[in-house]
Amino acid sequence: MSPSGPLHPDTPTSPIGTPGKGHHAEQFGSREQQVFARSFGMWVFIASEFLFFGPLLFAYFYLRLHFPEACAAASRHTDFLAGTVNTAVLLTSSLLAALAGHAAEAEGAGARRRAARLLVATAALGLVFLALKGYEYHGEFAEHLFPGAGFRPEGVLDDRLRGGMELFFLLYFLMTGLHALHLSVGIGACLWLAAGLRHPPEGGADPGPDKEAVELAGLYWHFVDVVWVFLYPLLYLVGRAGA
Amino acid sequence: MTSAQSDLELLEEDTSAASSYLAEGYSLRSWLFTRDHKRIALLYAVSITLFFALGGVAAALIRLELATPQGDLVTADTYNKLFTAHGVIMVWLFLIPSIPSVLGNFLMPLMIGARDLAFPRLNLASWYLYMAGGALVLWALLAGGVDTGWTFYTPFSTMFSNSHVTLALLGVLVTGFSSILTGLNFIVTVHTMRAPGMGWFRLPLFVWANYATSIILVLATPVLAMTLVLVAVERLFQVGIFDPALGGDPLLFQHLFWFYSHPAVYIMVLPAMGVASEIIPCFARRPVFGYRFMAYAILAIAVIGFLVWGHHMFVSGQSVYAGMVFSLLSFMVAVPSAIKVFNWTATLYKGRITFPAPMLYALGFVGLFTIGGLTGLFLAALALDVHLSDTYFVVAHFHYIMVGGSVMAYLGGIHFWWPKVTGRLYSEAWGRVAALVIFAGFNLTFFPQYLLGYAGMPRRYHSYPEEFQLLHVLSSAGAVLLAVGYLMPLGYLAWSLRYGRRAPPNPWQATGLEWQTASPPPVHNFAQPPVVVRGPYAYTADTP
Amino acid sequence: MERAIRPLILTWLALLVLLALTAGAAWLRLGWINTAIGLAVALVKALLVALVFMRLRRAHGLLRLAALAGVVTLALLFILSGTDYATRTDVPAPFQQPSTVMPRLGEGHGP
Repeated sequence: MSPSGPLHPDTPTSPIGTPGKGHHAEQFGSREQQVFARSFGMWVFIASEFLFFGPLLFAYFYLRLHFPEACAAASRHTDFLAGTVNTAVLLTSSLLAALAGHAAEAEGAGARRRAARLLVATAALGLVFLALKGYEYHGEFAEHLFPGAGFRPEGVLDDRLRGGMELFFLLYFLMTGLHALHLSVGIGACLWLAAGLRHPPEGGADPGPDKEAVELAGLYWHFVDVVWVFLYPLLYLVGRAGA
Repeated sequence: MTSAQSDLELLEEDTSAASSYLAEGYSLRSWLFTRDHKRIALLYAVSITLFFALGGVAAALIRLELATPQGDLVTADTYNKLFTAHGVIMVWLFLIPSIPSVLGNFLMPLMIGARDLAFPRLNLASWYLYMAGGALVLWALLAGGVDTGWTFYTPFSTMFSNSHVTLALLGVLVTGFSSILTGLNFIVTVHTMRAPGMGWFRLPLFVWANYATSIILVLATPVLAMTLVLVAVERLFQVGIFDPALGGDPLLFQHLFWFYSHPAVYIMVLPAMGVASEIIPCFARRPVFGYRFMAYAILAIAVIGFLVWGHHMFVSGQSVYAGMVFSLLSFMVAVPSAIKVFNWTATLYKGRITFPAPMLYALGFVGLFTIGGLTGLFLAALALDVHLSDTYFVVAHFHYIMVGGSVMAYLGGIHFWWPKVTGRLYSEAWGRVAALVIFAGFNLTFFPQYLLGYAGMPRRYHSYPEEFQLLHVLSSAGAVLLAVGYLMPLGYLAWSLRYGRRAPPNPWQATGLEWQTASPPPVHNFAQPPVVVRGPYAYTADTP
Repeated sequence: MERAIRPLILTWLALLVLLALTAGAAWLRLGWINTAIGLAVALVKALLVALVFMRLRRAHGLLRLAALAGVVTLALLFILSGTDYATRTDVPAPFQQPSTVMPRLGEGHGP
C-alpha cells in the first residue's frame, strides 16, 4: 500500500492500530498521521502565540515612534549584563533541546536516558534564566521602576519623559513577564518529559513519551527562545551609546 | 434507499440505534468527561442556548426602554450595562461559538469521513474554557455589570469606568482561548484526517467555511486576548498606553481591538454561509453553482477580512489617508460575498425547489445577508460614514448580518441536521411557522432601525426626541414577535426528542458523508472508514 | 552521530557570535543604524533557530506555511496601522497624573 495520511489523501489509510506498526490514538488512522497532525498542531499553536505577543510589539512600536528619548533613557536602566548573559543562556538551552531531540531519535534505553539528561539540562538553563530575571526584577523594583503609582526613576524631572519611561517599563515587565510565564511552562514540560523518558510506564500498551514528544517540546522551547531573541535588542540595547 | 447519488461506497450500513453515540453511557460523568466530538457539540449547544436566552433578556429590556422617548424604565447607567451585557454575551458567548462549536464540532469529522477531531481532549478543554469564561462574565454581570459597551473603548474602560471591567475582560479572555483551541483543532483535522479520496475540492462548503473561520480564530483571537490584558493592566496599575493624558493613544487600542473584531464578524458569518451552501443545493436538488468560486470566495473573505478593520475608526481621529485605504479595502471585501450570493441564487435556477423549515431559514439568510451586506457598503463610504457612524444605521446593519444572517443560518442548520444529531424528526408545520414568524419579527424589529439611524438616532442612547417614537415602537413590537419566534423551536424541538418520529439515515436525501451513516451516528461515526469517489453536491436532474 | 550534531553546534556558535556582535554594536553611537543592526541580527538569529533547531528547513511545506501565516498576519497589523500613524500629525496632550481613579498600588501622588 502506498503511504497513507495527509501527504496522499487519495490512498486509503491503514485500519486502526495495525499490530506492530506503532501505537497511536484511536482517532488517527496511522502513527504517521498522528505524528504529522501533532507537529502541525504545534506549529499552528506557535503561529497563534506569535499573534499573542504581537500587540505588545505593536505597542512598543508606537512607543518608540512617539517617545524615542524616553525609550532610550528607560532602556539604559535595564541590566545590560544580565540581559546579555540571559540571551546566551537561552540560546545554549536551545542547543541542548535540539540535541535532546536528536538523541531521542536513536533506539534503545540508552538513547532515552541521554535525551532525558539533555532535557533536564535544558530545563536547568531555563531555571538559570528565570533566576537571573528574578534578580533583575528585584533590582528594578528597588529602583522604583515598576509602573504604577510608585514609579520614580532617579533624576528624572520632566513629566513627559517619566511618563514615556513608565510606558516603556510597562511593556518591559509585560513582555518579559509573559515570556517568563511561557518559559516556566516549557521548563515544566521538559522535566515532565525527562521523567517519562527515564521511567517509562509499566505495561506495553502505552510506551510513554518518545521522540515525537521531545520534538514537540523542543519546538515550543525554541519558539520561546525566538521571542527572547527579539525582546533582547528592543528592551536592552536602545540608546546604550548614551543620551 | 437514497435517491441522490451517494458519494461513497459503503461496505455495510449500521443503522441500529443501540450503537448510537447517545447510548454510549447515560451518566453525567459520561457527558462531562467525554472525548466524543458529537457529545461535546451537544454540551456547547445547551450552554450557548442558555447564554442566548440571557442576551435576549438584555435585548428585551433594551427594546422595552426604547418604546418610550424618555429614559424612564432604567437609569442611563443601567442602560449602558444592558447593552454591554447584550453585546458581550451575544458576540462572545453565543455567536462566535454557535455554528463552529455546535454544528462544526458535530459535523466536521463526519463530513470528511474521520472518526473524531484530531485532538479530542483539547476539544473538551475548549468547552470547559468556554464555560469558565462564561461563568466569569456572568459573575461580572451579577456583581453589578459593565458599562463600557462590548467594545471596551479606552480611556473610559481603563481610567474612568467604575464597573466590573476587569472581571468581564478576564471572562472574554478565557472564552477567547476556547475558540483558539477549537480553530486549531479544525485546521489540523481538515488537513490531516480527510478520508481517502476526499481531496480539497470534494469537501462540502461547510467544511471550507469552518476551515477559513478556524484560520481567523487562530490568528485574530490572540490579538484580542493581549489587548484585553493591556486594558486590565492599565486599570490595575494606572498606566496609560491607551490614555492620551498619560502619553498613550486611544487609537492604539482601537487598532488592536478592531484588528480582531473585524475578522470576528467573519468568524460569525462564514460558518453561516457554509450552512446555507449545504441547505440550498439539497432543497433545490441541484449542485451548488460555481463550487470552486464559492471555495475561493470563502478564502478571500477570510483574507481580505483581515485588512479592513479601520472602517470602524473612520471618525475616531484616524488619519483620513488611512481611512481611504481602509475604505477601498472594505469595498473589496464585498466582492467575494456578492459572488456567493449570486451563486446561491444561481443554484436555485431550474431547481425543483421545496420549502421545508431549513430552506426557509437558508433563503431568509441569503436575502437578509444581502441587505445587511449592501448597507455595509454605505458604511464603507467615508463621507456617508461620517453621517451614519454611531447611529442606529450601524446597529441595523450588523443585526441584519448577525441575526438575519448568522442566527437564521444557525437555526436552519439546527433544523437540517436535527434528524442526524438526535435521530428524531421535528414537526415540519411548526418549523415552517416558526421560521416565518422569526423572519417577520426580525424585519419588523430591525428595518425601522435603518430609518432611525439615517434620520440621526444615535446608538447606545436610552432617550430620544419624540419624532423617533413611532419607528422605535415598531421595532419593539417586532422584538416581541421575534422573541415568540425564538421560543417556538424550543418547544417543538424538545417535544420531538421524546415524541418525534425516528429519523432514517438520510431523511432529506442529501449528499454528504454525514448522511451515509446512521441517525444518530455510532460513536466512531462510520462502521467502515469511507472512501470518497465523487465530488460534493451530486444532485442530478433525474433524482426526484 | 557526530555529523548530524555538527550543524547544531555550528548554529549555536553562530548565534553566540551574532549575540556578541549586536551587544557590542549597541555601545557605538550610530543613530538609527543601531536599531537596524539590532533588528537585523535578531532576524538572522530567529531564522537560524527556526530553520536549524526547529527543523523548518526540511519540514513539510504546510508547517512552513503555518509559520509564515503568523508572521504575515502580524506584518499586516503593523503595515496597515502604520499607514495611520505615518499620516497622522501627533498633537500630544498635556501630561496629567491619573487623578480620577484612586491609586491601588504603592504610594499615590494623586488626590
